[in-house]
Amino acid sequence: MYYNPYNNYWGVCPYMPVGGYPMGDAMKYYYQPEIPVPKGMREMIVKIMETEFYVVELALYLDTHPSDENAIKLFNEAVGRLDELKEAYREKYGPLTHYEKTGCPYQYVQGPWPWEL
Amino acid sequence: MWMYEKKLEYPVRVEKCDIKMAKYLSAQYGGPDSELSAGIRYLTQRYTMPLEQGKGLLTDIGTEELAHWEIIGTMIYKLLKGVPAEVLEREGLGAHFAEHGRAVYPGDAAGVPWTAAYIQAHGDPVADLHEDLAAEQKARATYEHLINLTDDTGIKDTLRFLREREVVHFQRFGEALRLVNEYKPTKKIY
Repeated sequence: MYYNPYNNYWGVCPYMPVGGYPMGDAMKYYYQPEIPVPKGMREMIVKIMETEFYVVELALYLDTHPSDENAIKLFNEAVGRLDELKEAYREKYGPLTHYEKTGCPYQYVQGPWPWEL
Repeated sequence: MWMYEKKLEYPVRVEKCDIKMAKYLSAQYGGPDSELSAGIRYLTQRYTMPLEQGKGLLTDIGTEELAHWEIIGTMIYKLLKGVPAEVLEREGLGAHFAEHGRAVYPGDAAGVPWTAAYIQAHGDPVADLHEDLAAEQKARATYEHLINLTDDTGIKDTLRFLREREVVHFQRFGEALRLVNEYKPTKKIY
Protein backbone atom coordinates (compact mmCIF):
# COMPACT_ATOMS: atom_id res chain seq x y z
CA MET A 1 0.00 0.00 0.00
CA TYR A 2 1.73 3.17 -1.07
CA TYR A 3 0.64 6.70 -0.31
CA ASN A 4 -1.32 8.64 -2.87
CA PRO A 5 -0.21 12.19 -3.63
CA TYR A 6 -3.39 14.17 -3.80
CA ASN A 7 -4.90 14.20 -7.23
CA ASN A 8 -8.51 15.02 -6.65
CA TYR A 9 -9.95 18.45 -7.17
CA TRP A 10 -10.23 19.49 -3.57
CA GLY A 11 -7.26 17.68 -2.33
CA VAL A 12 -6.73 15.45 0.61
CA CYS A 13 -3.76 14.96 2.89
CA PRO A 14 -1.04 13.11 0.94
CA TYR A 15 -0.94 10.38 3.58
CA MET A 16 -4.11 8.90 2.05
CA PRO A 17 -3.22 5.29 1.28
CA VAL A 18 -4.20 4.18 -2.21
CA GLY A 19 -7.30 2.06 -2.43
CA GLY A 20 -8.91 3.12 0.81
CA TYR A 21 -8.07 4.00 4.33
CA PRO A 22 -8.38 2.15 7.63
CA MET A 23 -11.13 3.42 9.87
CA GLY A 24 -9.28 2.14 12.91
CA ASP A 25 -5.84 0.67 13.29
CA ALA A 26 -6.80 -2.42 15.30
CA MET A 27 -9.99 -3.26 13.44
CA LYS A 28 -8.98 -4.27 9.94
CA TYR A 29 -12.56 -5.05 8.94
CA TYR A 30 -13.53 -1.36 9.07
CA TYR A 31 -11.34 -0.80 6.02
CA GLN A 32 -13.43 1.31 3.68
CA PRO A 33 -12.76 1.83 -0.03
CA GLU A 34 -12.24 5.28 -1.42
CA ILE A 35 -15.58 6.57 -2.63
CA PRO A 36 -15.41 7.51 -6.32
CA VAL A 37 -16.84 10.92 -7.08
CA PRO A 38 -19.10 10.97 -10.18
CA LYS A 39 -17.78 13.01 -13.06
CA GLY A 40 -18.86 16.64 -13.05
CA MET A 41 -20.39 16.52 -9.58
CA ARG A 42 -17.85 18.84 -7.98
CA GLU A 43 -18.15 21.46 -10.71
CA MET A 44 -21.94 21.47 -10.41
CA ILE A 45 -21.78 21.64 -6.62
CA VAL A 46 -19.44 24.65 -6.83
CA LYS A 47 -21.92 26.47 -9.08
CA ILE A 48 -24.73 25.73 -6.64
CA MET A 49 -22.49 26.92 -3.78
CA GLU A 50 -21.89 30.25 -5.50
CA THR A 51 -25.55 30.97 -6.25
CA GLU A 52 -26.73 29.74 -2.88
CA PHE A 53 -24.17 31.92 -1.11
CA TYR A 54 -25.55 34.90 -3.03
CA VAL A 55 -29.05 33.96 -1.83
CA VAL A 56 -27.92 33.55 1.80
CA GLU A 57 -26.15 36.90 1.75
CA LEU A 58 -29.24 38.67 0.37
CA ALA A 59 -31.45 36.84 2.89
CA LEU A 60 -29.37 38.20 5.76
CA TYR A 61 -29.57 41.70 4.29
CA LEU A 62 -33.33 41.47 3.81
CA ASP A 63 -33.73 40.37 7.44
CA THR A 64 -32.79 43.86 8.59
CA HIS A 65 -33.98 45.79 5.51
CA PRO A 66 -37.25 44.09 4.60
CA SER A 67 -38.53 46.91 2.37
CA ASP A 68 -35.59 47.27 0.00
CA GLU A 69 -37.25 46.61 -3.39
CA ASN A 70 -34.06 46.37 -5.38
CA ALA A 71 -32.68 43.71 -3.06
CA ILE A 72 -35.95 41.78 -3.24
CA LYS A 73 -35.76 41.79 -7.04
CA LEU A 74 -32.18 40.47 -6.98
CA PHE A 75 -33.17 37.90 -4.35
CA ASN A 76 -36.04 36.50 -6.42
CA GLU A 77 -33.89 36.31 -9.54
CA ALA A 78 -31.17 34.49 -7.65
CA VAL A 79 -33.65 32.02 -6.13
CA GLY A 80 -34.95 31.29 -9.64
CA ARG A 81 -31.41 30.55 -10.85
CA LEU A 82 -30.75 28.42 -7.77
CA ASP A 83 -33.87 26.32 -8.37
CA GLU A 84 -32.79 25.65 -11.95
CA LEU A 85 -29.30 24.63 -10.88
CA LYS A 86 -30.64 22.32 -8.16
CA GLU A 87 -33.10 20.74 -10.61
CA ALA A 88 -30.26 20.06 -13.04
CA TYR A 89 -28.18 18.60 -10.20
CA ARG A 90 -31.02 16.40 -9.02
CA GLU A 91 -31.55 14.90 -12.46
CA LYS A 92 -27.92 13.85 -12.72
CA TYR A 93 -26.83 13.02 -9.18
CA GLY A 94 -29.91 12.74 -7.00
CA PRO A 95 -31.51 14.94 -4.38
CA LEU A 96 -29.65 17.25 -2.03
CA THR A 97 -32.24 17.05 0.74
CA HIS A 98 -34.48 14.28 1.95
CA TYR A 99 -37.58 16.33 1.20
CA GLU A 100 -37.54 15.65 -2.53
CA LYS A 101 -38.87 12.86 -4.69
CA THR A 102 -36.43 10.00 -5.05
CA GLY A 103 -35.88 6.93 -7.17
CA CYS A 104 -35.34 3.44 -5.82
CA PRO A 105 -32.95 2.66 -4.05
CA TYR A 106 -33.16 5.69 -1.78
CA GLN A 107 -30.89 8.23 -3.43
CA TYR A 108 -30.31 10.62 -0.53
CA VAL A 109 -28.01 8.24 1.40
CA GLN A 110 -25.89 7.37 -1.62
CA GLY A 111 -22.81 8.86 -2.94
CA PRO A 112 -20.05 10.98 -1.49
CA TRP A 113 -21.16 13.03 1.48
CA PRO A 114 -20.02 16.66 1.61
CA TRP A 115 -16.91 15.95 3.69
CA GLU A 116 -15.85 13.20 1.31
CA LEU A 117 -15.82 15.34 -1.83
CA MET B 1 -37.25 23.30 12.17
CA TRP B 2 -33.95 22.55 10.56
CA MET B 3 -33.30 21.10 7.13
CA TYR B 4 -30.02 19.74 5.94
CA GLU B 5 -28.64 20.10 2.46
CA LYS B 6 -25.95 17.67 1.35
CA LYS B 7 -23.36 20.27 0.44
CA LEU B 8 -20.97 22.58 2.20
CA GLU B 9 -21.34 26.34 2.04
CA TYR B 10 -17.80 26.73 0.64
CA PRO B 11 -15.41 24.07 -0.67
CA VAL B 12 -12.69 22.71 1.58
CA ARG B 13 -9.34 22.11 -0.10
CA VAL B 14 -6.51 20.41 1.73
CA GLU B 15 -3.40 20.72 -0.38
CA LYS B 16 -0.57 19.66 1.85
CA CYS B 17 -0.10 17.80 5.04
CA ASP B 18 -0.26 20.50 7.68
CA ILE B 19 -1.46 18.06 10.30
CA LYS B 20 -0.80 20.39 13.24
CA MET B 21 -3.64 22.55 11.92
CA ALA B 22 -6.08 19.77 12.82
CA LYS B 23 -5.37 20.56 16.46
CA TYR B 24 -5.57 24.34 16.05
CA LEU B 25 -8.72 24.24 13.95
CA SER B 26 -10.51 22.68 16.92
CA ALA B 27 -10.43 26.20 18.37
CA GLN B 28 -13.08 27.10 15.84
CA TYR B 29 -14.85 23.74 16.14
CA GLY B 30 -15.47 23.50 19.88
CA GLY B 31 -13.69 26.41 21.47
CA PRO B 32 -15.06 29.49 23.24
CA ASP B 33 -15.23 31.57 20.04
CA SER B 34 -16.05 28.70 17.75
CA GLU B 35 -18.77 28.36 15.17
CA LEU B 36 -20.54 25.95 17.52
CA SER B 37 -20.64 28.57 20.28
CA ALA B 38 -21.88 31.17 17.81
CA GLY B 39 -24.57 28.93 16.36
CA ILE B 40 -25.95 27.82 19.71
CA ARG B 41 -25.70 31.33 21.13
CA TYR B 42 -27.71 32.94 18.33
CA LEU B 43 -30.24 30.14 18.08
CA THR B 44 -30.86 30.37 21.83
CA GLN B 45 -31.07 34.16 21.98
CA ARG B 46 -33.58 34.41 19.15
CA TYR B 47 -36.53 33.31 21.32
CA THR B 48 -36.48 36.49 23.37
CA MET B 49 -35.52 38.99 20.67
CA PRO B 50 -38.38 41.50 20.37
CA LEU B 51 -38.33 42.63 16.73
CA GLU B 52 -39.18 40.28 13.89
CA GLN B 53 -36.12 41.49 12.02
CA GLY B 54 -34.04 40.46 15.04
CA LYS B 55 -35.67 37.03 15.25
CA GLY B 56 -35.13 36.40 11.57
CA LEU B 57 -31.56 37.62 11.67
CA LEU B 58 -30.56 35.52 14.68
CA THR B 59 -32.19 32.41 13.17
CA ASP B 60 -30.51 32.84 9.81
CA ILE B 61 -27.08 33.74 11.12
CA GLY B 62 -27.30 30.90 13.68
CA THR B 63 -28.09 28.43 10.92
CA GLU B 64 -25.22 29.75 8.82
CA GLU B 65 -22.86 29.35 11.78
CA LEU B 66 -23.83 25.67 11.99
CA ALA B 67 -22.97 25.41 8.28
CA HIS B 68 -19.56 26.91 9.09
CA TRP B 69 -19.22 24.41 11.90
CA GLU B 70 -19.64 21.71 9.30
CA ILE B 71 -16.91 23.29 7.16
CA ILE B 72 -14.43 23.29 10.05
CA GLY B 73 -15.34 19.68 10.88
CA THR B 74 -14.67 18.75 7.26
CA MET B 75 -11.28 20.46 7.39
CA ILE B 76 -10.24 18.53 10.50
CA TYR B 77 -11.59 15.28 9.04
CA LYS B 78 -9.67 15.72 5.80
CA LEU B 79 -6.46 16.59 7.60
CA LEU B 80 -6.60 13.48 9.81
CA LYS B 81 -7.87 11.05 7.18
CA GLY B 82 -5.54 8.12 6.69
CA VAL B 83 -2.66 9.55 8.69
CA PRO B 84 -0.67 6.85 10.53
CA ALA B 85 -0.49 6.95 14.31
CA GLU B 86 3.27 7.61 14.50
CA VAL B 87 2.94 10.69 12.33
CA LEU B 88 0.05 11.97 14.43
CA GLU B 89 2.08 11.58 17.60
CA ARG B 90 5.04 13.39 16.02
CA GLU B 91 2.81 16.32 15.04
CA GLY B 92 1.44 16.71 18.55
CA LEU B 93 -1.91 14.98 18.08
CA GLY B 94 -1.03 11.94 20.22
CA ALA B 95 -3.50 12.85 22.99
CA HIS B 96 -6.28 13.50 20.48
CA PHE B 97 -5.57 10.18 18.77
CA ALA B 98 -5.56 8.30 22.05
CA GLU B 99 -8.97 9.63 23.07
CA HIS B 100 -10.72 10.14 19.75
CA GLY B 101 -8.76 8.28 17.07
CA ARG B 102 -9.10 10.18 13.84
CA ALA B 103 -12.53 11.49 14.80
CA VAL B 104 -13.50 15.12 15.09
CA TYR B 105 -14.41 16.25 18.61
CA PRO B 106 -15.97 19.48 19.84
CA GLY B 107 -13.25 20.67 22.15
CA ASP B 108 -10.94 23.63 21.89
CA ALA B 109 -7.38 23.63 20.62
CA ALA B 110 -6.17 22.24 23.96
CA GLY B 111 -8.81 19.51 24.07
CA VAL B 112 -11.04 21.16 26.68
CA PRO B 113 -14.60 20.04 25.85
CA TRP B 114 -17.20 22.55 24.75
CA THR B 115 -19.45 23.93 27.44
CA ALA B 116 -22.50 26.17 27.49
CA ALA B 117 -20.56 28.45 29.85
CA TYR B 118 -19.06 29.89 26.62
CA ILE B 119 -22.42 31.46 25.72
CA GLN B 120 -24.99 33.57 27.46
CA ALA B 121 -28.60 34.40 26.70
CA HIS B 122 -29.75 37.33 28.78
CA GLY B 123 -33.21 37.98 27.37
CA ASP B 124 -32.31 41.65 27.23
CA PRO B 125 -31.93 42.43 23.51
CA VAL B 126 -29.30 45.15 23.93
CA ALA B 127 -27.12 42.89 26.10
CA ASP B 128 -27.60 39.93 23.75
CA LEU B 129 -26.78 41.91 20.63
CA HIS B 130 -23.68 43.42 22.21
CA GLU B 131 -22.54 39.92 23.12
CA ASP B 132 -23.13 38.82 19.52
CA LEU B 133 -21.07 41.73 18.20
CA ALA B 134 -18.23 40.78 20.54
CA ALA B 135 -18.53 37.12 19.52
CA GLU B 136 -18.15 37.98 15.85
CA GLN B 137 -15.04 40.02 16.55
CA LYS B 138 -13.54 37.23 18.65
CA ALA B 139 -14.20 34.75 15.88
CA ARG B 140 -12.64 37.06 13.32
CA ALA B 141 -9.53 37.44 15.44
CA THR B 142 -9.31 33.67 15.91
CA TYR B 143 -9.52 33.19 12.16
CA GLU B 144 -6.70 35.66 11.68
CA HIS B 145 -4.55 33.70 14.13
CA LEU B 146 -5.41 30.46 12.31
CA ILE B 147 -4.57 31.96 8.92
CA ASN B 148 -1.20 33.00 10.29
CA LEU B 149 -0.57 29.50 11.65
CA THR B 150 -0.75 27.69 8.32
CA ASP B 151 0.76 28.00 4.87
CA ASP B 152 -1.59 25.62 3.07
CA THR B 153 -3.20 27.80 0.40
CA GLY B 154 -6.39 25.74 0.23
CA ILE B 155 -7.07 25.95 3.97
CA LYS B 156 -6.08 29.62 4.00
CA ASP B 157 -8.63 30.31 1.26
CA THR B 158 -11.48 28.69 3.18
CA LEU B 159 -10.44 30.40 6.43
CA ARG B 160 -10.37 33.74 4.64
CA PHE B 161 -13.93 33.16 3.43
CA LEU B 162 -15.04 32.29 6.97
CA ARG B 163 -13.29 35.38 8.35
CA GLU B 164 -15.13 37.60 5.88
CA ARG B 165 -18.42 36.06 6.89
CA GLU B 166 -17.70 37.00 10.51
CA VAL B 167 -17.11 40.61 9.48
CA VAL B 168 -20.40 40.63 7.53
CA HIS B 169 -22.27 39.15 10.47
CA PHE B 170 -20.83 41.88 12.66
CA GLN B 171 -22.33 44.47 10.30
CA ARG B 172 -25.70 42.73 10.34
CA PHE B 173 -25.80 42.62 14.14
CA GLY B 174 -24.90 46.31 14.20
CA GLU B 175 -27.98 46.95 12.06
CA ALA B 176 -30.14 44.89 14.39
CA LEU B 177 -28.82 46.82 17.39
CA ARG B 178 -29.66 50.09 15.67
CA LEU B 179 -33.20 48.84 14.98
CA VAL B 180 -33.64 47.74 18.61
CA ASN B 181 -32.38 51.08 19.92
CA GLU B 182 -34.76 52.92 17.60
CA TYR B 183 -37.66 50.75 18.71
CA LYS B 184 -37.10 51.29 22.42
CA PRO B 185 -38.26 54.96 22.74
CA THR B 186 -41.23 54.62 20.35
CA LYS B 187 -44.75 54.80 21.70
CA LYS B 188 -46.37 51.40 22.02
CA ILE B 189 -50.13 51.53 22.21
CA TYR B 190 -51.94 48.46 23.48
